[in-house]
Amino acid sequence: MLPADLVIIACIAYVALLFAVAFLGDRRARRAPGGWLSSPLVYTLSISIYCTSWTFFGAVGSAVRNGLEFATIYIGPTIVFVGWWVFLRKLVAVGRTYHTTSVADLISARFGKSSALGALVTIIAVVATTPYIALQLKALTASFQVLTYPAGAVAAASLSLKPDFSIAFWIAAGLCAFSIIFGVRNISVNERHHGVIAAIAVEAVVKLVALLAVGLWVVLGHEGGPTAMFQNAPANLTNPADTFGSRWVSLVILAGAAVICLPRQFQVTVVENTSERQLRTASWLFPLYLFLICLFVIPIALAGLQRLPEGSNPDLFVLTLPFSADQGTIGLLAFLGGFSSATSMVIVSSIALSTMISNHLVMPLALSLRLVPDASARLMRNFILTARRASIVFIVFLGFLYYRLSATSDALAAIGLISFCGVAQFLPSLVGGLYWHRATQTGALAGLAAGFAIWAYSLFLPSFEGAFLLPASAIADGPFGLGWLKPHALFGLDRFDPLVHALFWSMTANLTLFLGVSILTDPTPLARYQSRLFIDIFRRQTESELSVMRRTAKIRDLRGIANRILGPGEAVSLFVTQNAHDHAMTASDELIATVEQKLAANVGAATARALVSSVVSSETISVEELKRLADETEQIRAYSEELEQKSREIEATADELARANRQLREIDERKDEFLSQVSHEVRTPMTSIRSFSDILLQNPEMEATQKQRYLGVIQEESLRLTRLLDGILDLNQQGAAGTRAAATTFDPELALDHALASCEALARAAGVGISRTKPVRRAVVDGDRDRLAQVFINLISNAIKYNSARKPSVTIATRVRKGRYEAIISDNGPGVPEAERETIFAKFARGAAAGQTGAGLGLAISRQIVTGFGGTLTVSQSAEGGAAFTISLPLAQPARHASGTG
Amino acid sequence: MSAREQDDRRDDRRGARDLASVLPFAAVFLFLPPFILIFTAPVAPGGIPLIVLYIFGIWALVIVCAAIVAARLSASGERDEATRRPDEPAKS
Repeated sequence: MLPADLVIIACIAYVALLFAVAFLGDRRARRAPGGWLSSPLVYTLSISIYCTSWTFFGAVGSAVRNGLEFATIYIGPTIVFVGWWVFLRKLVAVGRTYHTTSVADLISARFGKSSALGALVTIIAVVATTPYIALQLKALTASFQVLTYPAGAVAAASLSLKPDFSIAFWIAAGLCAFSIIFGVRNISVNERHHGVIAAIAVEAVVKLVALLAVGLWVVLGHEGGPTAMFQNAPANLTNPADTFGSRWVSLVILAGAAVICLPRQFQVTVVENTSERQLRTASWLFPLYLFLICLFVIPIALAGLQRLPEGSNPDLFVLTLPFSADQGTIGLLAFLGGFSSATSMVIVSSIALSTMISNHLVMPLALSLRLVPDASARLMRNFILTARRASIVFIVFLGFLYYRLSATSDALAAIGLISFCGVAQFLPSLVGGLYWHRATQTGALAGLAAGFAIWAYSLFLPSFEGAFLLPASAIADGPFGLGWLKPHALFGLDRFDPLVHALFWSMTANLTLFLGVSILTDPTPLARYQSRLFIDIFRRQTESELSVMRRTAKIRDLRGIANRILGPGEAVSLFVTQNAHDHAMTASDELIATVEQKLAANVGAATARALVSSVVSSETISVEELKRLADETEQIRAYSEELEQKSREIEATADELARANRQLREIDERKDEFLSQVSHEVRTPMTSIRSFSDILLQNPEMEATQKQRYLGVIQEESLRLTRLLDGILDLNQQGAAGTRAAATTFDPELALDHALASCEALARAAGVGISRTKPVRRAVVDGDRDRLAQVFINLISNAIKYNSARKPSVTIATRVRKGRYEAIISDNGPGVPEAERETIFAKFARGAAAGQTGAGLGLAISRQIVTGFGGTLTVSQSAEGGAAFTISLPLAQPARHASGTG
Repeated sequence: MSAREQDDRRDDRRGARDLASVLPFAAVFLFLPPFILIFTAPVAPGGIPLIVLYIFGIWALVIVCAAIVAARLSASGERDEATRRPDEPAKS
């Protein structure tokens, strides 16, 4: 055991630390708003308030009792958060944009700022949260008692200790104090609860570290690996088929609903949110937190079953396991983890609920009974703050009462699920309100009331086991002995466990009435207006939309209200644009809307509306106008889609044009280049012809041999010129005729035969040996045989002419591969350097080596011809180190093949 | 920025959005019966029951996917957000 004093000192030290963090957080937020306190990490940590002592202690208990079922409580929220884009994003955007103060505020604002709806949601939330707070008190009390039990924690856990309500009372009182000091300093939610959020973030880290520490200690200290660990696992873990029934599905749904609807979750996720960036990070970081929390639950449960005496309370394994091995430090850490998870839940829940109670129950009542002190701003604000402080005490006290009355009730998880099912009743109105224009406030009221009533009857009241309202006999046999009204088997439906049963009936009634009544009734004009604002949150509001609501009020009156609720400071800034002598004048619609929005951020939409309405002398909302706007929005939507489509088309056309333009420019440039090259090429032989003929004309008495030599040069140059012009002509014909060239189907080997015959004389003269592999049989290609022969001649004569090897040789190999005919003409000459392998196919290109004469057009023409046939002409290095030219042509289609070779 | 890059970015963003919309439904499919029943067979690879491995494995996978989606959405959405006034709803 640990001495009670030590435990109390540890608790007080821990709470003091939280106070310090909260205090510093508040101060920092005032100095530098938007600092690290609004970082996505802190936001995520504050959301992990979802993990209460139910998680910290109860998850292991649940794993022992029901196997993997504990995971559903964390899988549901995981699905909701990874799917933030689908729903949460919209909810958070609405809350952020319209300064929503609570889940009751959001629902009431959506359905025409209905105060009845706000009140009903608040009542449901308070009643549904009561068991949850009781659960925390129970866990705290039990862990404290076990820790300080004189005979040791292990012994204490195997007895069923009588709960010590005095401990519970002092814990409750301490929690009230903390919540009041840090949660209810100001009444506006615009100034968010930075101090509390900072403290909550610290608590989130503490509970995670504590649980991981216990988990790691268990896993690392375990001998024998996983096989030994799972050896004595309960049957629901090793043979889990029965786990995945209706209860599994129900729990996933409930947990998913709860992470949205629980007042404290709504508070940290929606109300305290400042940017979408926060939510985006939380979408994966929060599931990761849950994952880590759950990681060691099963090992701890199994170790507890193995090491602790039979009959130990599994809800306290996390605490008793370390003590059973005399690990006092880890044990104390575990206790603090549980302490922090419970305190953070109670603090934020009571803050969230107190805001709801003061805004939706106290203020409307006080306003209608004229109890609100409107003499001065200070009195008014004090009234609101007092209402909130009293609400906190009331809420925690209710939790304490529930704990007292139902103290015999067993597992932590069972209590928590009662709360989940209660708050899940908000889901239809919340989802319907954000997506369905036709949802009306009457429908929401009917659905919520019915769902709440059935939940209370079939789940909440029976949880007292006869101690409150519903006697034990009525729970067992139905009220007045009416069997079909048995709370756990309504209408004789007794095949499910109580939770699934209650969820089924309450949700059925809730949904049916919500949908049915909504269809049958018409929304009020204000509800219609609000639905447009909420559902189309991601669309910009148009001017005409804002002017649908027309109200008249005197500026003076409006300022009076603003002064009282917001305080003079903020009121001045609101009215700064108005001159003092204008105050008797009517306020603009815009000003009225702004004031109402500011008020709503403090006291909720419904109360704000009631306040503003008290000074508004006339109000009209044109339903016709709203309907017209709805049609207009549809038209605009269609129109803008059309526009977008058009602009995409235009963009594509512009791209096309730009590309064509680029191509034309390129061709133009190439043509210029070509022309200048041609002139240059023609000019060189012309110059030498002219100069030699000049010499001959001017020196008639020149020697005959000299004359002869000069004439030879002239003839040679004019021959070169002719060849050049022939080549250019050829090139142009190719370019112009190109694809038009008469295409026949022929055997390329015949063209090769022809080319070899033509080159024979040249080869013999140069002493070059030509070898040829076995011709391919029955290969046919499309094109012009003479043209192909021309290409062969060009390549073979090049191979002969430019071969400087001592024993020059040329090899011609042909083959058919992958549907293509290939001819490779290789030599053992100097080869083509890698850098020049593409450029030699350009017009007027000649090899860099000496002795390269000719027009430099042959290869260009050859390539053009081959390309015209749909083939390719490339050069590489031959096996002998020379050049290897490869012609590759597609084979002709089989149908034409027959006629071609026939 | 060229038209193609803009297109790519738009496609990227649209792809991330689609993924973000599909992810929760995929998770529902994987975590709820009947699909999950496939993994309830009483086998224990490495001493750990298959169902435990399955649930925690899929859980981790879903979280990784969500992180990737968030990163891609933030990479393509940062500029849009920066140009928006505070407290003004995003325009989809």
